[in-house]
Amino acid sequence: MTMQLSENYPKLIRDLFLYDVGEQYYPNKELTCEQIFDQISYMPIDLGKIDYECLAHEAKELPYKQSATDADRCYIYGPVGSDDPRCERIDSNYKEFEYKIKMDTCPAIKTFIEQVSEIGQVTYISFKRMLPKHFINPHIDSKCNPFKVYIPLTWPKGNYFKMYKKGCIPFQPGEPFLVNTGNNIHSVINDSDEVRYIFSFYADWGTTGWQRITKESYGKLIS
Amino acid sequence: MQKSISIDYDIEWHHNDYKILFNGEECTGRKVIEVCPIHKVNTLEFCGNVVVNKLILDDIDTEYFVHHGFTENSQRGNAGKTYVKYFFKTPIWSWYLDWKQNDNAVIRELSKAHQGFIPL
Repeated sequence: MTMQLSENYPKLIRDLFLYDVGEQYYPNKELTCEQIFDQISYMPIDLGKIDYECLAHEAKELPYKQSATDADRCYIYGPVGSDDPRCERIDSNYKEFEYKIKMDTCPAIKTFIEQVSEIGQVTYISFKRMLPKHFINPHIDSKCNPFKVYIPLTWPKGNYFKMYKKGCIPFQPGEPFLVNTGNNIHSVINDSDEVRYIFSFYADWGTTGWQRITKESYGKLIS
Repeated sequence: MQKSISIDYDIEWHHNDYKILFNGEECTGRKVIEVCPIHKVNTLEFCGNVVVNKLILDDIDTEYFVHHGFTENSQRGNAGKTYVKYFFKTPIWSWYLDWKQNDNAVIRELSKAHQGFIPL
């Protein structure tokens, strides 16, 4: 799918959305976890039932750090220490994790973190709020852990998560995707008139639980 | 038929004697250049004692790519005593995203982090 965006967006974003016709290809056969991480840029991941409306309600009240044109962020869980590492350290090997904000006012988010932590270690969680007509320029994320799970809480028409040569991720509210943002250039826009909310987390993909979820989710995708 | 793209830049010259060569031909002062077919590499050379602060091709700001120019004595950067030379392909948007993706490859990042060999 290609689309013509208004001049509100930088030329690089407009060209990416207009000319890039690439799409994600899913091999129609069983893959090992290593093959999934190596070959798949994004895919739905099954985390069970998510009460995303409750999460969205709480997400709207979080203390975001504002950005002029980008996404506002709220870092809520990560390695022990005061600074937000944004998971940018290439050789990070954190062992201890903690909440970064008081969780009294967001019990649903806290419950969600506890639930997914039972699958395996979660290492970093942040919520993002993007205002109408804001955008994130094409970029690549962390190398220390290139795979993250995105869970859109709202996704108004006109929102796009575009991955270079891999198409747009078909986000829907409450439907998690495993996304390889560390090896793929991607750009995000909110071309709607509504604020949109999403959150993402990194996990220790070497744990048995996360490997099982990943493999099972891919199996469902191709069945 | 060759395609034209816009070109803009912010440069500092340290002597009056300078010129800009595009694919070997002088293009000093031009705002539009005719690029090679897409399978060929274009060259843009700022000749003289020069610092290139910004390079905008086809209305796309190439950001930190300016620091990856080739200079005299096999050095890299955005400043040269005699020249700074850049290589690029078109379409600019896809060339630039490919370049950016390669520049952020894990092995390259590790090399940068440890200031060792940087594969180009």
